[in-house]
Amino acid sequence: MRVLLIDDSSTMRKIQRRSLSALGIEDIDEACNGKEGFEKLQAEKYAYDLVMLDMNMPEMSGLETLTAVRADPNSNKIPIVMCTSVADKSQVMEAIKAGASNYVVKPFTPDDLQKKVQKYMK
Amino acid sequence: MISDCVVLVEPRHIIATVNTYVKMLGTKPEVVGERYTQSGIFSVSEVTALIGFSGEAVGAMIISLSEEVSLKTISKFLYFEQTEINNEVLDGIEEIVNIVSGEAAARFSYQTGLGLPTIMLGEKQRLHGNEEHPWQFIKMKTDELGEFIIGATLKEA
Repeated sequence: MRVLLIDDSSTMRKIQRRSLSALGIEDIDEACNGKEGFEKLQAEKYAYDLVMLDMNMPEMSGLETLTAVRADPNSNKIPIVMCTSVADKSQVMEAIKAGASNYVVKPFTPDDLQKKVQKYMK
Repeated sequence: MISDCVVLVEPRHIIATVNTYVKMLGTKPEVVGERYTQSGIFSVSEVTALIGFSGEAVGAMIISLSEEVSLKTISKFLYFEQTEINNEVLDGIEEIVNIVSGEAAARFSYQTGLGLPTIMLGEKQRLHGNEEHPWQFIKMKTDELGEFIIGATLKEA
C-alpha cells in the first residue's frame, strides 16, 4: 500500500508515519502543503492507494487540494482521509461534500488513525 | 455570551489540553493551583507558543513551557529523544497549541477561526495584556513531563 501524507507540520507527518508503519505500511511519501502534494500526485502518476490530507495549511488549503484532486479524472477515485482539528467542523462537512472519503479529528490516538486507514488497506 | 469572555481557561481550555495530552502524548496533565489573571507586562517561560482566534470573538491563547519541559514533551510526542531546542521541537510545540486551541475553539459559543501558531523563544519573554481584556492563566503539570502554563485572552469582536 502506498500513501501520500500532506501536512504542513513535520510533527504530524512523523506521527502519522509512525502509525502507518505500525500497520506495516512503509511506502510513504510526504508533502508539506497542498500545492506540493498535488504536484507530487501528478509527478508519481497518481500511484497512491490513500492520501492523508491536512485541512489547515498555507499555500493551498486541504479543501482547495481536495477540490483539485477530485476535479482531476486521474485521481478522483483515490481515497482521501482529511486530518482536521475540532474547530474545523463546518469545513469537514464541506470536505465530505467535496469528495473526502473519511476524516480523522485531532487530537487522535494512534489507534484512531489506524482504524481509519485500515478501511482502505487491500 | 459575556461569560465566554470572562471565563476563558476553565473548563474548555483545560479539557482541550487534557484531551490532547492524553490522546497524543499518552499522559494526563492535572491542574496546579487556582486560575489567575494578569494584565500589563508580565513574564512567560522560555518557549511560548501563541495562536490567535478570529471571528465572532477575537483573542489569543498560549502554552508556555521551560526548555526542559519542551524537550521532554516533544521527546514523548515523537518517541525520539530531543536534546536541544530545534525546528523539530518548535514545530511540535506549535502543533500542540494548534490542536489544543482547535478543540477549545469548538467549545466556544462563538464561531471562531484559528490563525497560524507562532513561537516566542528565549529567556525573559514578556507579554502585555490590556486591563479590559486581561490574560487568564492556569498552571498544569504531568509527573512525567513537568509543569507548563496555558493562558488565553478573548473579547467579543
